[in-house]
Amino acid sequence: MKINKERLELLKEIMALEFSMIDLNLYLDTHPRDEKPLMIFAQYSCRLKDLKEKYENEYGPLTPDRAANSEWKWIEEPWPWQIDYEMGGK
Amino acid sequence: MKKYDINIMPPMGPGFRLARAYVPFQVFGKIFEPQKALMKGTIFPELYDPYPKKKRSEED
Amino acid sequence: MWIYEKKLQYPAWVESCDLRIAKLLFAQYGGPDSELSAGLRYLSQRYNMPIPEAKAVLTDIGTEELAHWEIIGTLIYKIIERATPKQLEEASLGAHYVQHGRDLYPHDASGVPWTAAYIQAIEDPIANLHEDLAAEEKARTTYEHLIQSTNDRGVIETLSFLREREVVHFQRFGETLRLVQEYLDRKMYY
Repeated sequence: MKINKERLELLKEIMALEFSMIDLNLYLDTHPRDEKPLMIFAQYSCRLKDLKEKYENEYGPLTPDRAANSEWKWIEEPWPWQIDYEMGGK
Repeated sequence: MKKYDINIMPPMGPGFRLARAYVPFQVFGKIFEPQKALMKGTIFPELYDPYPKKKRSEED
Repeated sequence: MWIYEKKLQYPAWVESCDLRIAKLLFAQYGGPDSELSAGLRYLSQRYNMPIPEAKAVLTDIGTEELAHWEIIGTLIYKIIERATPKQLEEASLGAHYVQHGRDLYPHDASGVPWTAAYIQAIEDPIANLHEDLAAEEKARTTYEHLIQSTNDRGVIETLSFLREREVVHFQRFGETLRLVQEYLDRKMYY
């Protein structure tokens, strides 16, 4: 299932940022007092919050706790396995 | 190719004990920016270990 | 507890309909060295880990493995979604189709159902962590075998991502092992 270009780009930006935060997260788990990665994590976290807000306002909730709305958009398709991520053009 | 010679395995220093496995601790350096990191599978250049894929021909 | 985030960790994709690799991908969906095994193993071992770093590492990597399980499932789903029963039969997925349709099911590349016998949690953190290091290497190797078994660009790129994650996980488990060893050594003298 294809989604519109702006939505896909924003989703990919969120994926990239959140992935980087997970890699930092794992590093921090074994290096909990390293300040530099902690600082970068905080910066990314801030940016992620903004991106997610932008995405969720336009396209619906990414987690059920963010589903408050006049409609229950949580159930809406596409679900992640249905999306055509259009990677083939590279 | 150099033959494996147990006499020239580098010593690991005083803190290390027998019958134990040791993985070196990573030290924080540079990181890839997010889009690049996602495509590579890690933010850490020193952990990036690309796997060279041989194209599978019909004869394989 | 677990919250589901409605997005994949990686933009999994397939170039075309390589049904043969779909069958083989079940190795990482429900096989001995699959993401499912990894997830359940680490999430089971985390409870009695003696230091907080270890509880965190096992919880966080265990959780990430479930996200990877979802990616493997997505690859298989995308490949088989429009295949006919005849095409599935020709790709040796006939038995799967008969018993499960196009649903995903946790079995290995031969159809052998997943079993907890694939994992161990034995309370001793040194033993547990060594099992985890081995698991990451076996998963990495399985990904390499899978990559060698297809020319589908999307599958190769997605599997390469997952393979790299195993390398990173190995490093984290290695560090956790050092931390646990140090902790246990210090504890001995008090």
